[in-house]
Formats: sequence, structure tokens, C-alpha cells
Amino acid sequence: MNYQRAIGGGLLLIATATASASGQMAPRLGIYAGGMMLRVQSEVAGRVESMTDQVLVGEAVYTRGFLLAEGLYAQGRLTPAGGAPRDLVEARGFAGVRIFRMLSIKGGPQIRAVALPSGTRRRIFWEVRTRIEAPIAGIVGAYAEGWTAMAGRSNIDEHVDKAHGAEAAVTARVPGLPVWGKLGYRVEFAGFDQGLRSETVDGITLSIGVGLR
Amino acid sequence: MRGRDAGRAAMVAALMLVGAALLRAQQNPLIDQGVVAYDNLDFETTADLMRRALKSPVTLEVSEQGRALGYLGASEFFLGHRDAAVLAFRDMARLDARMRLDPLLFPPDVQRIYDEARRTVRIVQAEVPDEAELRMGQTVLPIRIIANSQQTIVVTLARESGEDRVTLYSGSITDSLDLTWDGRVGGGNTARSGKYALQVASLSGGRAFRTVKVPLQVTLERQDTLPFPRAPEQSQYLPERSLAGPLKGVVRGFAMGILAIGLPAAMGADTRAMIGPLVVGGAISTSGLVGLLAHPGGRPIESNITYNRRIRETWQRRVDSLTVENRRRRENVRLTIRAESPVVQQGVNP
Repeated sequence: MNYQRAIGGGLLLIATATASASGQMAPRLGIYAGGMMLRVQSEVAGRVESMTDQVLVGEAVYTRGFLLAEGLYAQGRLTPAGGAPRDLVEARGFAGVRIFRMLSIKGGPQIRAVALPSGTRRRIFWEVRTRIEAPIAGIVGAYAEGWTAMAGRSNIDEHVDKAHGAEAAVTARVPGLPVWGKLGYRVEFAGFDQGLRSETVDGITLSIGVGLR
Repeated sequence: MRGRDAGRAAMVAALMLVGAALLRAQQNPLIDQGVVAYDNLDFETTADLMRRALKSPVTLEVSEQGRALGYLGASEFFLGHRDAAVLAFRDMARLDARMRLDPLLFPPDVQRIYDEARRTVRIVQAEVPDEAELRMGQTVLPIRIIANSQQTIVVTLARESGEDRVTLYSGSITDSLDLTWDGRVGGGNTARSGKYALQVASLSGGRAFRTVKVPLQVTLERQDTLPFPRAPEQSQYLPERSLAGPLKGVVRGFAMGILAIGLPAAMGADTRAMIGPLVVGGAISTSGLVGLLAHPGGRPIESNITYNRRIRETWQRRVDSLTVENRRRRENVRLTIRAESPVVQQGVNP
């Protein structure tokens, strides 16, 4: 794992070092809407249950000076293999600061609720996220974001051991128009009850939005 | 001081005496004596005195000549010498196109003879200011043509050599005609410095029988134009395109793309059947390459483009400003025109 972190750090360093001060990476004020192909894999005592579906996603970002805020809402149905679909709602809201043009830190809650046969399971993670943004080519930019949960809570009888995740996306602006597009990938891992259970969530997001620069 | 004042007074008195003598020389006493004889109806004496005055070696002014010829013609008329009267009146009419007998001094019979004589003499005069300054496009040179009888004239202005000829008027004149010259000659060009001549030709049967020529000394004054600034050297411009940006984009794209591909592994997640990282990582990596291919000549450097445009615009502004200033200077052309005494020539074609 150490060499992987070293490689990851090196890649971040390269991306940061070669980034120019010019280039628009994200809108100052933007609203995105799109869809997410989501997969949730739950592992309990070596048994893996996988649920997949398409989820609708709405996202808003706002930057003013070095302050930033963003929110996300996703809603859909997860379909387990050979089981009944389960409703999913996910929401998060973050506030943070842009330390310099390419690096920002933000924090806030992420809530994910899934309707189970026994009732609704709601988990809330208090996350701290770090994002590196870099312009790639003119109207195209990319970012990579990593996060870890500083605290977690669930409304059912389970203990949140740890949770962390990462996200990467490529953003593009339509020349001459305030229209933005985003293709992103996110992956999260959470451990519960002293390692008895774990959950991995990953998905591809494709969204378009309107954004002011 | 008294002695000096007395000297001054003596000098003034001497000058007055000299002036009076000169005046007397021009106002021949024979004419005054002839006028007295005419008033006494002594026409023979009048005619004799006037002839002597006209033959006098002292040059008479034109007005005095006219006065003498008028009394001579009237005397001859009253003496029954009609032809002699007509000859005297013709000579009088030739002196000045505006010359007329005073109706208070001479009776209608005499006036009638004079008018007959005047109609047989066709003269024309041109009046031009002795000195005039003409601003091109703003002021003009006034020219007055005076004729003693109806006739056809052609008024031209040309260099003494005949070049740069411009016709100011061609047609008939009865009494007087006001013309102007705007300082332009043939082809609409501004007159050059040098000797020009205003010619008024009286025509008969299409041929000039008498030409009045007024020599004009023309001096052209024009402000120098300012030189234009040299166009900025190529070395003053900064490069407007650079490949560094697209190349860095490729490097960044690859770094971020590989980072995206490695995210599941970094999270300790099972990477099997995860095509998401490959799709997104590949898209990020490819976008850098696309950026390079989209700008094979390099990406525009906006700051340098702005800098270069500022250099070009600054130079262009100076050129435009000088163009306006030079146009103003070119248009600010003055002609100083000095007219000399008219010369009468017989039979010179315009």
C-alpha cells in the first residue's frame, strides 16, 4: 500500500506542478443534473451482496473568493440480484475553502438512506475532503478528490468503524456557452462493527449543467 | 530745444512746398485755364489750351487726361468740328472703362456724341488687389472685370509660360463682372510658386483684338508634413502561441487519469469488474492528447496576444493621429499673390 500511496502522491504532484494559473476548471456558480450508475457491494462475514441501478443526481456548486459550498442530492432504486428493489436517497452538503487555485478543503455531512425490509437505514458521515483540480486542455479540466469520515453514525444498531472514499472527474465547458458537462467516478469504502461488515459504493456520474464563470 | 523745433518746422514747410509743386505738376494749370475759357464760351481757346496740356511733357494723371479730353471734345463739338469731337471722346473712352462725362458740366448733345464715340471703343479692365493672401479652400482672390461697353471676353489665369491654364470666365460682359480664383489651376492642382498672369481677352469674331494682362507673383506656403513612426520591429512582439500548455495538459491528463484508475485500489476496494475508473481515467488522459492535437501549433497565449495588440494599436493610433495632422497641414496651404500693373496688348489670343 505504501508504494501505491507514493505513486498517487507523485501523480498529484505532477498534476499540480504542471498546472497553469490560467484555464477554467469549474464554474463559479453551477447547477448540474444527470445520472449515476451506482453499485453497492455489502460484505457480511464473507458473503457479498451487490445492488446496482441508475440514480438521478442533482448537484450545485458555488465559489466566492476563497470560500466554496456545494451540495448533492441523488435518488433512485437499488436492485439486488434476485431481490426486491430498494429505494435510495443520498444527500450531502459541504462548505470549505480554496487554499490556492488548485487545492481546496471542505467538510460536511453525507447522508445515505436505504429502504430495507426491516425499515429505513440512515447513515451519516461527517467528512473532510481534499480536492486537487487541474486544467487539462482549454475547456477541459479534471479533479481528484479524497475524503475520510471524521465521525459516522447510523440509525440502526451498527457501529461505524471507518469510512473513506475518492472521486475523480473530467469537466468540460461548451465554448461560448455557460454549459458544462462532467464525467466522474466515485468509490467509497466503509467498515462496520469491528470489521464484521463492510460496504463499497462506486459509480460513474454523467451530468450536464449550467454554470457561470 | 527751440532751435531744434524751428528746424523741424522748416523741414515740414519745405516738404509741403515740394509736395505742392509736384501736385501742381500733375494738375496742369493749362487745364484750369481751359476750363475758365470754356465757362466763358471761348471754345477755341479751350481747345487750344487742352491740346497743349495733353501734349505737355509733364505726365498727367488719367483723371486729368480725361478731364482735358472731355473739355476738348465738347469745345470741338461747339465749334462744329464733330469728327474732332468724336476723336477726342474716343481717346477719353480708351483711358478708363468707367470714364464718363459729368452731366452737370456738359449738355445732353455733348453727352450723346460722347456715348456714340464710347460705343465704338471697346475696352475692358481687370482689378485685382495689389496684395492678397489666399487660404486654400477657405478664401478666394476677388477679381473685378469692368467693360465700357458690351463685348465678349475670355478670362484666363496661367503661368507666364502658358502652363497650368485655367479659364475663369468665358462669355459676354456689359458693365462689370465679379470673379474669384480659388488658387487652383489646371487639373484642380494648387498653384505653384512663380509668375502667373491674369489675362482678359476681348473677342471679335472669335479672335482677340485686345488683351489686358495683369502679372501676378504667386508664392506658395505649405507646412511640412510629419514623418510616420516606423512599424514595430518583429522582435518587439512576444510569441502568441506556445506548445508548452498543450504538452503540460498531456502530462496532467495522464497523471490525473492514472490517479482516477488507481482510486479503487487506493480505497482497498475490489477492482474486478470496475470499468468506471478506466472510463473516467481514460477520458481524462485522452482529453490531454486531444488538447495537443487540437492545437498542433500551440495554444494562444492571451497575455502575449493582448500585449502585441497593444503595441500594434499604439502604433496605429500614432499613425492615425499623424495622418490627421498631416492632412491638416497639407490642407493648410496659403498663396500670397502680388499683382503688378496691368499691361494692354493688342491681338493676343487667350
